[in-house]
Amino acid sequence: MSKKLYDGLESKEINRIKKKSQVQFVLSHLFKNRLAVAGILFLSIMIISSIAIGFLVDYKVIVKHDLRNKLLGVSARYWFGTDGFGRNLFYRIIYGARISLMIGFVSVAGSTVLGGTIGSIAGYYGGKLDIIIMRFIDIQMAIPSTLFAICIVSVLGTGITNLLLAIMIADIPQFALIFRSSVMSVKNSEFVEAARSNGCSTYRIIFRHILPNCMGPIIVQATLNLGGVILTAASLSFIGLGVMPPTPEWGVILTEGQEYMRDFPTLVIFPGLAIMLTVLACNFIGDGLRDALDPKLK
Amino acid sequence: MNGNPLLEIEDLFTVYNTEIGVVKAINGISLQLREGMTLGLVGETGAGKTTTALSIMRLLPEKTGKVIKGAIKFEGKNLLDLDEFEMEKIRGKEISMIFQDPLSSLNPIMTVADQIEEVLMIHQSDKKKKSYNFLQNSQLFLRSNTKIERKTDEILELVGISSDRKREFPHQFSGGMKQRVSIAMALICNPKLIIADEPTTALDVTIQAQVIEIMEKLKQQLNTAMILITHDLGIVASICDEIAIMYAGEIIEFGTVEDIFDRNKKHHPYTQGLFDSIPRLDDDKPRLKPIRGLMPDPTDLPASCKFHPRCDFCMDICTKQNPLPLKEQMHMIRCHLYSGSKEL
Amino acid sequence: MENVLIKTVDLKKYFKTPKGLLHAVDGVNITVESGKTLGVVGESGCGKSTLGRLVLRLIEPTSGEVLLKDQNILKYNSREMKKYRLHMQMIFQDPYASLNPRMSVTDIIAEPLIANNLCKNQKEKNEKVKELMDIVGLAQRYSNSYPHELDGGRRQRIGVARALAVDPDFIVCDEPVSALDVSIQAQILNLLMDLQDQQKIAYLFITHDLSVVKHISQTIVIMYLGQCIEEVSNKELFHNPLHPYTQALLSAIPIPDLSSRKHPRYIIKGEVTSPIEPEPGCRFRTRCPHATTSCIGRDIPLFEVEKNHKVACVLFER
Repeated sequence: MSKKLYDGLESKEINRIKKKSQVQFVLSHLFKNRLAVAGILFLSIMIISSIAIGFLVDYKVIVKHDLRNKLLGVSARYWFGTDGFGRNLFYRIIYGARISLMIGFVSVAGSTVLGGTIGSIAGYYGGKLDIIIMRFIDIQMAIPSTLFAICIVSVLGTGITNLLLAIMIADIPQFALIFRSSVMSVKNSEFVEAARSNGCSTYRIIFRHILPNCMGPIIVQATLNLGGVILTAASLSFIGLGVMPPTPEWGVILTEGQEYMRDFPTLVIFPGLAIMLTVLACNFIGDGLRDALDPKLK
Repeated sequence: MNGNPLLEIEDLFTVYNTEIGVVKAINGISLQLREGMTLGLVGETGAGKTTTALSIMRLLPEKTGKVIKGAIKFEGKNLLDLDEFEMEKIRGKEISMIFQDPLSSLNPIMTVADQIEEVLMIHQSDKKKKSYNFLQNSQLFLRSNTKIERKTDEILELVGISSDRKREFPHQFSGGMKQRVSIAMALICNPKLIIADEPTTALDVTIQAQVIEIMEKLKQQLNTAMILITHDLGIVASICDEIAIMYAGEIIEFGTVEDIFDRNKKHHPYTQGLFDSIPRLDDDKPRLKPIRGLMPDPTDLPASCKFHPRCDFCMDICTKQNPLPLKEQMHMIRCHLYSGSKEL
Repeated sequence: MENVLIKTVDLKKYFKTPKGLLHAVDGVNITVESGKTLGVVGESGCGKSTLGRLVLRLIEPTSGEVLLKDQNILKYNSREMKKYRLHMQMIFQDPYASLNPRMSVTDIIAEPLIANNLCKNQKEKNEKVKELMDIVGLAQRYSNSYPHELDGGRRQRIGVARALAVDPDFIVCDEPVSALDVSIQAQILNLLMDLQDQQKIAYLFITHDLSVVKHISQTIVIMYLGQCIEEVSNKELFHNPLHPYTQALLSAIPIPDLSSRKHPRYIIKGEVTSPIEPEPGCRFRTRCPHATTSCIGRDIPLFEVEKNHKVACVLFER
C-alpha cells in the first residue's frame, strides 16, 4: 500500500490549516478584552515614562528642596503641583513608578522562582518530601503576608533591598501552592509518561515537559500578585518600614502629603490615584489572561 | 410497513457559529420515523448525528447553535415553532433522551429514585395542577406519594435494577447500572420517542450486551419509537429496523436493515468503505481497506458531493454537482454512480 | 519458541488503596516473540494497561521478572535502564493527551533522539524526523504544527513516529486505535502492520476490542481481574474459545451482519467484581454459568489444553 494513500487529502487542506501557536492564540484572546487592553496600555505608559524620566530629568531635581515654590497648585510647569518641600509632584510620581514597578517585578519574579522551585519539587516527588514542605508552607500561610513582611523588615531593617526581600519571602507560599498543584496535574498525563518511556531524564521531564504546561495559572497569578505587591510596598513605605524619604516611592509621597491633606488634597490624591490605577491595571490584565488561558475557550 | 409517521424531519439545516467560522453541521436532512420503529443514525465523529438529536430536542447550545432552515414535525406539530414552555412539556414526556456518558448525565447528589421521580413529578403536575410547586420536589412529599413510588419501582425492575437500591446515589452504581438508570429515567413517562446518543459506547462489551438486550426487550414491550445514534454497525444490525448513514451533515444512504446489510445490493461508496474498515471476527482479511483521507472541514464543505475527495469512484460530475437522492422503495442513496438510472 | 524477545515471569503489581491491596496484575506470564504481535484483551479494570507499563518498567512491579532477551530488566539501575529503553517503546491510547501541547510535531518526534543523544546536530535531527514522518505517512508541512491543530488520526501517527525514532524491537500499543473513528482506525492498524512487516517490530497490543486484536495479533491473551485466563492463537480464538468468559466476550460483540439476529446471544450476568483483596479461586466464578465448588479455594493455573492453547478453568483441568 503506497504511503501517499494515507495522506490523500492533504494537498487540498493546506490552505485551511491556520498556523497559530498557542501564544498567539492567547494573545488574540487577550486583546479582545477591552479592560485588559486598557490595563496593558496604562502599564506600558507607566513603564515607558518612568524609564524616560531617568534620562530627561536629573535625579537631584527630583529630591532637591525648593522651599520658595512649596505647595504650588496645578500649573503648566508643575503638572501635579509641588509638595511641601517645593518638589515637582509629577516628576516624583513618575519616578516613583520606577521604584514601585521595580519592586513589583523583581519581587514577583523572585517569589515565582523560589516558590516555583519549592512547589515543583513537592509536586513532582510527592510522598514524605511533599508532606514536609507543605507543612512549612501551611505555617507560613497562617501568618498574614503583610504582617509577615513587616516582621521581616523590622528584623532586617528598612531600605529597598530589605523591602524587596520581605515581600518576596511573604509571597513564596502562594506560588509554591500553585506550582505544586499544576505540576501534580500535569505529571500524570500521558505525554509525561511518553517522555519517560523515551528515556528523558528527570531534569528534562520537569523543564521541557511539565513546567511549560503549567505556565497558564502561574502567569495569571504573577500578574495578579504584581498589583498586590505594589500595594504592599506602598503601604510598608507609608508606615515607615520600607523605602525611606526622600526617595520618591509612592508610599513615601503619600506620607509626605498626609501633613497637608486638609488644605492641599492633590498631594495625596495623585499618588493615591497612581497606586490605584496601577494595581487596577495589573488586575485587569490578570483577569484578561485568566479568561484567555481558560482551556474551555479553545 | 405499519404505523403513522411520528417524527418527520424536512430539509433540516443546522449551523454552529464559532470563532473559526460557520460550522455547517447539518445540511438538509429529511427523515421519517414511524411509531414503534427504531432508526439507527450511523456515522463518524462530526457527521452531525448528535446535532440532529439536539435539534430535535431543541437543546442546541444557545449562543452558537441554530437551525436555519427546515421543519421537525412531531405528531404533525412543528417543534421549531413551539416556545420554550411548550417544549419543556414535550421533553422527557413525549421525547426523551439517553446520553452517552451515564456518569455525567446523572446528578451526583440526588438518589436514583429522586431523579426518576423528579421527571415524573414535573410532567404529572402539568396535568393535575396548573403550577409546579417547589414543595412537591422535596423528598418528604415524594416518599408519601405511593403511586409515584410504585411506578418508579416498576420501571427500575424493568431495566433490571432491584428496587431495594433505589435510595442509593449514582456513584454507588457501576457504569452499566448507571446507564440502566438513565434508560429508566428516559422511559418513566412512557415517551413516544426515545433518542439514544451512543448509549453503550462508554461501556464494556459484556455490559454493552446486557444493555442492548434490555433495550431490545423494552422496545418490544413498550412499542416506543427510538432513534439510536451510534458509530458501531454491529449494534445497528442487532436492534434497528431502519438505518440512516450520515456523512458531513447529510444522509447519504437510507434503508431498512435488510437493504443496508445486504452486501449484494448497491451501496454508497462511503457505506462500503465503512464496512471494509472494520475488522471482523468472522473472516481473515490480511489487511483492512480503509477509506483514505479525513472528514472534510465542516466550515468549508464542498458544494458538490461531500464525499468526493475521499471516493475511489470519483467522477467529473461529483466535483461539480451534489447528487440527488435516488430511491427504490425504502432504500435511498445519494451518489452520482447510480444517477444514470432513474431508480436504483 | 527460540525467538522469545520479552517474557514475564509471575509478574505482580499490587496497589495500596484505603480498602486494601488492589491486585491489578496478579501473576501474569506472557511471551512476546520477535517480529510477532501478542494481543492482550480484557474489560476496563482487568489490569491490561498496568501490564503494558510493567513490561516497559514505567512502573515497578511488586514481584516477578521481566526478561528482555533473557536479561531481567528489573535489576538494572536507571542509567542501564536508559539503554534498554531504546529497545522498547510505547504508543498511547489518547492521541490528545499523549503529545505535549507546547511542542511542535518536529520537537515531539525528535524528543527521543535528543534525550538519548542519538543525533549529532540539527541537520541530522531534521533528516531523521523527515524520514520518520515519511514512514508514518505524515506530510512534511505539518512539521511545525502543534498537536492541537491536527486531527486524531494524524496525532496518532505522530505517536507512532515518536515510538519508531529509536528503532525499537518492541512496542507496547496501549489501545492505540480505540479513540479513533473506524475509517481512521483501519488506516492506523494497516500502518502498524506494514511497519511490522518492514521492520520486524514485536508488538504487545493492548485493547478491549476483540475484533481489532484478532485482526492484528498472532497470539491472544485474555485477561480477567489481573489474571490471564486464556492464551490462544488467533484462529483458535474464534473457532474454539474454551473459557466461559472468552465465550461470553465473543458472543457479546455485535457483529455487523443480519445473521447475528438469528442466533440467541449468550449474555453473562453481573459485572466485574472488585479487584481489591480477591479471595483465592477463579475470579470469574460469580458470573460464570458453570461455576461449582471446585472453583473456590485455590487459584486455577493455566493448563495447556492443546498446542498453543492454554486456559485457566476447572472445566478443562486434567
